[in-house]
Amino acid sequence: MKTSKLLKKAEELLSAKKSKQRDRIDSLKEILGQLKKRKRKLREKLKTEERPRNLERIHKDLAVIRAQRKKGLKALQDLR
Amino acid sequence: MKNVILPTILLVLAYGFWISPDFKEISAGVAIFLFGMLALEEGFKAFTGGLLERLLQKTTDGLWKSLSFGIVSTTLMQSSSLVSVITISFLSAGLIGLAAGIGIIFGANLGTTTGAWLIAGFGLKVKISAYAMPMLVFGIILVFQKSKSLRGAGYVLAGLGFLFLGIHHMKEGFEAFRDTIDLTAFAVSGYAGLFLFTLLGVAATVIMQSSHATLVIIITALAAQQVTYENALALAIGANIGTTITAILGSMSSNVQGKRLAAAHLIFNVATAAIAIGLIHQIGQAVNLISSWVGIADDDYTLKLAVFHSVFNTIGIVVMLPFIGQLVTFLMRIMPERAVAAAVPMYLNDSAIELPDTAIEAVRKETLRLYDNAFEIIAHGLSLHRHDILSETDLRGVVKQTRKPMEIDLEAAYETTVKGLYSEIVHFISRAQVTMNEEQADELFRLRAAGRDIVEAIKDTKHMHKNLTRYIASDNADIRAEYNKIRVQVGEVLRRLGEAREGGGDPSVILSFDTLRVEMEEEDSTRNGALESLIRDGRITAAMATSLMNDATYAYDVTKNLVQLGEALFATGDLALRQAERDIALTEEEIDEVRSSLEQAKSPTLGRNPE
Repeated sequence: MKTSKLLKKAEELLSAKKSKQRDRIDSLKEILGQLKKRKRKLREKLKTEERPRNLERIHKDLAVIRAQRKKGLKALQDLR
Repeated sequence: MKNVILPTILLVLAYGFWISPDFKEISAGVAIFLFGMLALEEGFKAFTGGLLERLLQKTTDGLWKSLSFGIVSTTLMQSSSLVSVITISFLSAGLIGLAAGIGIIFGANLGTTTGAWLIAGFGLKVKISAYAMPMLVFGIILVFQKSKSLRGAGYVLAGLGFLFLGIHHMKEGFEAFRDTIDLTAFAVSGYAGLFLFTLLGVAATVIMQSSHATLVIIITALAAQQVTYENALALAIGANIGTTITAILGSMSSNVQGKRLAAAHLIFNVATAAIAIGLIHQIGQAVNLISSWVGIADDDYTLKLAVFHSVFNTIGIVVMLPFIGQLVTFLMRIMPERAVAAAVPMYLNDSAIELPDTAIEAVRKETLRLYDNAFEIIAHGLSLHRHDILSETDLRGVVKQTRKPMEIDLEAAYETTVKGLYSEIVHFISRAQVTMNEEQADELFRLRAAGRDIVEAIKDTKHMHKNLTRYIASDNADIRAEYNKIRVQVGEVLRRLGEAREGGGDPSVILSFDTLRVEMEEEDSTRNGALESLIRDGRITAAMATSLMNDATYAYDVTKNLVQLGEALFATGDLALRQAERDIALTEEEIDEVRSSLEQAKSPTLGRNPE
């Protein structure tokens, strides 16, 4: 590895700003992952649920998660 | 147990009313008397913080003053029972202290002896019970006035009127019993006679509710030589004990302070009676001595009885006065004030302040306690049980079944379980944030805001509570349905928060609150439409519509505050994770977008109506 590249890597590691950005990216990824799991669970529930009020609630949850994931993915893209 | 006792008492009373009209009159007398006590207390409360407090403070701020107050007021009113019940109501309203109250009672015991002088000397008795009717009429007219002090005066007058009326009915009811009390049949000499006649005096006074009435009988019996002088003295001692029954009855409707005073009255009178019985011969000699000094004839037993009455009550005061302090301490120990479980902080300690992350966690945990207390207040304010909210039961079914409003004093609950704790949290935060960096201080700020949201949510619940309790029991199905919708709406949010509270560890739980926001907005717009149609069709009155509009706004604010506090409070994980949650949470515009997309896709079969 070239010296300049090594220096760059070191700088990146030491830079608080970059580290924070990495933390944010990791956090966003974690939450997006959780949302994906929730979405899957809700879809499973949708197959078995019969009560109209609960069905309505699940649909709402799914719509909200969709919007949140869209927002999260965009934030992730901007950070990269 | 409680479920059995009350119906049993009611049944026994009903049976008693059926078989004895006298018993019915006596019971009605007791009821009217107690009602008078309540009205009296209500009246005195109107004067708290003003003139009456200053007046009473000035006239009862020393032992001798309160003693004199008792003597003078009893001499004027000619009823120690009345002075003692009024003192109990002063005490219950917090106008005077226990020691001053005891001083008044002691004084009243001496003041009441002037009655014996009046009866024996002049055969005259001021009959204040004759004023009951005018007092009631004037009192009730004043109660309907707008001015607070006039209303207070009205309650006092009406209270006194009811007291007299109650005593009057009790006496009327006991008329039959009084006729059967033939004193000559019990003439007994020696200590046996002394005890027997003391007991008779107690019984007669308890029955007639007036030591004056007993004294009238004793004096007339003595004048007619139906009883011996010695037995008459014992009857007077008994009357002194019996008169405490009025104070005991009066204290039944009062708080612990009133009960303590009634106990003090009983202790004083029993102790005085014990001294009088023990020293009966010595007191008898002293009476003879005093009588000859003041020029009372040796055979004028009626006036000698009045002297005896004054002497033994004075002895009682002289003996008991030095022990007032001990009596107060004793009464406070045996009759403790019911401890109010005021919430105190569990996690906020000084050692946590130095460590920022620990301090944040301590504040979070304490705010969670605050939330738990608030949860109960809000749930009960909606007349919903916590277990119903935290279950999976359909809340629409629950609200339909619970039309009876829950009895809860929201203000008192707020004062004891929230207010103090919230102040402690705010104070702790202001001390802790000094050592924190920007991010940590921001987190603390969010927790403080959550605390404020909790308080706001309770206040808004309080605002809508009055109408809600009225309309959920209304016969108008439409207004009932609208208020039940409010209950369901807030109840659902509480349920979601409960789930989030339990489901710690999943950071995305906080994000599920966005669904609640969507629902809140939906609810708000559909309610407006429904309200318009209800007014247009004349299904609810204009007053109902106004209440509903206001309360719907309060309900919206409660849910908004609850969601906000939930976001700050139930967030788990490190600060970066919480920041990411906030990045992903939807803005108001995005919520609107989700709503419109849902509306487009909404099936017509998914209509909702809690009623």
